[in-house]
Amino acid sequence: MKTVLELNKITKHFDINKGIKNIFSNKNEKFIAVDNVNLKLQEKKVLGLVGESGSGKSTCGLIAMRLLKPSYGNIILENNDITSLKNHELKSYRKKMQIIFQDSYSSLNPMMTLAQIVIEPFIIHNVHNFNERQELAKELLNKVGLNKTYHNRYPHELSGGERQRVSIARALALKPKILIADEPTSALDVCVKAQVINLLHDLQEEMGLSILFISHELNVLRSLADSISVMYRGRIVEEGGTEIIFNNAKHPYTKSLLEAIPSLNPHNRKRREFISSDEIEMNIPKFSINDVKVNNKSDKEQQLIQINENHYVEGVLS
Amino acid sequence: MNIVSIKNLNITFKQHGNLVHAVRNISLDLSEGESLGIVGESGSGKSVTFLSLLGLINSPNVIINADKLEIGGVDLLINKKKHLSKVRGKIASMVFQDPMTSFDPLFSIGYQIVETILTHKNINKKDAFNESVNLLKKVEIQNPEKVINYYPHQLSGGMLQRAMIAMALSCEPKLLIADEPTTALDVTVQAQILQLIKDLQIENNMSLIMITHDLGVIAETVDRVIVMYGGQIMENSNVYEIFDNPNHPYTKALIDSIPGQKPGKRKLKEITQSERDSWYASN
Repeated sequence: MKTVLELNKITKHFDINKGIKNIFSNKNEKFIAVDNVNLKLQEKKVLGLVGESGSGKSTCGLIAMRLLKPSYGNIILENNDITSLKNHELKSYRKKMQIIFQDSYSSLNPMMTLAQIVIEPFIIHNVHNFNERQELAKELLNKVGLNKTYHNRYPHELSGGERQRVSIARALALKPKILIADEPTSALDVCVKAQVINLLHDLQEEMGLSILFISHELNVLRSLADSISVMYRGRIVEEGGTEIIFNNAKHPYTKSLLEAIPSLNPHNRKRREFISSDEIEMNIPKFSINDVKVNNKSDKEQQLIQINENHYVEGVLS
Repeated sequence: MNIVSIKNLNITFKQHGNLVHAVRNISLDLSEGESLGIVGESGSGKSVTFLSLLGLINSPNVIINADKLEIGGVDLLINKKKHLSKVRGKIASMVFQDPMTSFDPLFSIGYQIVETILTHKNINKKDAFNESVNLLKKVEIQNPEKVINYYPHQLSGGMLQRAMIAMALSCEPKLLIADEPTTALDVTVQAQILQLIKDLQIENNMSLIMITHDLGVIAETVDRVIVMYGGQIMENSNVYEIFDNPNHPYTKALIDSIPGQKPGKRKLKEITQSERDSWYASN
C-alpha cells in the first residue's frame, strides 16, 4: 500500500510568554501542542483523527497542509519532503492537497458568489481559460448537489450544510489527491450531517481521494474511516482499524471516548463514570513481551506498542 | 398541575412582505417534574416555540397567536409584559446553545450571576455572592471561589456551560428549558453536562424541556418526546416508544441518519425531497 502523506515525528511548540508583560523577562515557556506525532495516510483510504478539544488534532491538520510550520519533524508528501519549502515552492504541492475547515461561514469570502469562490483556485494556479473555468465551476457545484440556481448566490444566502458543500467543491476544484477535513460536520445538524458524510463517501470513491478526517465524534468516523488514530494531549495514544478501535480499545482515553457516545437506546440509560486526566495517565496499559506480536525498532521509538496486526497502543512494556 | 400549557400556537414572521409560518397549531402540556424532549432539524420551529413562551422574541415582525399560552399558571396572552418578569427566572429559565456568546465578555461570571440573583431576590450583595459560590459548587465547578472572579474568555466551553446552568438555577425555577445545551461541546463534556442537568432536575424537582437535534441526547435524558418538522408536531409519545417503535417516517429517518450505529464504512440514510413533501402534505 502506498503512503501519500506522512507526518514524521512532528512536534509543535507555541510560546506562551509573549506579550508586553514578558517583554523584559527571559522566561521562555512553551506549550507543546503536538508531541512527536507520526501519521501515515494511505492512498485512497480515510484516516480518522479523533480527540477532545485541545488535543492537537487540528494543529496536526494545519501542519500537514503547511499552514503552520512544525517545530521539529518532517512532512512528506508523496516522497517529497515539504517541511522547509518556501511559499512559492509549495504552490505546486498545494494542488495535490486541500483542506475543508470546520466553520464554513468564516472560510468563504462573503463578497464573492459561489461560482467565483469555486473558480478562485483556477485563477490562483493559472489553469484553464475563462470558459473552461466557468464550465468546471458549474460541474463542481453540481457534483456537490448545488444546481444552477445557486451559482450567483452569496455565502450568507445558504444554510450551513450548503455552505459546507461549497467548501468541499472549492477544495476539489484542483482535483487534489489528498483532502484534509477539519471537523467538517460538527456544526451541522443530524440530517445535514448525514448528507455531507454521504457526499464525502461518494467523492472519495469516485475521485480516489485520500482523506485525513479530523473529528471529535467517534460515531461519524465509524461510518467513514478505514482506520482511526486517537490523540490525547498532543500524543497519539492508540491507532488501529476502525472496528478494532470500537470493539477492542485498550487505552483508557479511547475507552472514555467510546463510553461518552450517547446510546440510542433509552432502556440502556446508565450513570457514567468520568475518568480524570490523572487517572488516564496512571492507567496507561501495561503489556508483557508475550502480548506484543511484532516489535520492531521504529515502533519503540514512537512509544506505541503493536499488540496486534493493525493495532498500536501507547503503553508500558514489562 | 401543568406547568406549561399551550393550545394552538401559531408563530408567523413577516419577511420582505411574505409570511413565514414558523410554528403551526402546536398544542402541548407539560406537567410538574416531567422531562420533555423536543427534537427536529434546524428550522423545524423547535427553538422559536419556547423562545416565544418566555417572550424572548418580540419584534413588530412577529405575529404570535394562540388559544392558550400558560406557564406556571401565568397567562401570557393577557398583559404580557407585566407577567414576563414574574415568569423569567422564578418559574422558567433557559440555557442557551452557545455559552461563549451568551455571557457578557466585559463582566466576570460572578458579577453576572449575582446580578441575576439581585434582580429576583430581596437579599444583599454579600449573600448573593455566597449563593453564587454555592451554585457554582452545585454544578461541579472546581475551586468556585476562584472561578467566580473569572471572565468568560478564561473558561472553557464546558465550564461556561456549567456556569450558565448555575445562573439558570439561581432563582430555583420550576422549569428549565435547555436549548441545544451541548451542541457546541465535545463528546465527553457533552456526556458530563447531560448527566449534570439530569441530576439537578431530580434534585430540585424541576420540569425539563430539552430542545435538541440529536436523538442521542434525547435517549439519554428525557421521559417524553415531541418530534417537530416544518413547524408542526409529527409525533408525541414516550421515549421508549419513539426508539422501539417510531410511528412517523420522519422519526424513523432521523434515527437512521445517525452515523456509527452499525460497523463498517457505509452510507447513511438521507431524507429526500419527495419524502419531505409527502410529510408536509399529510399533516
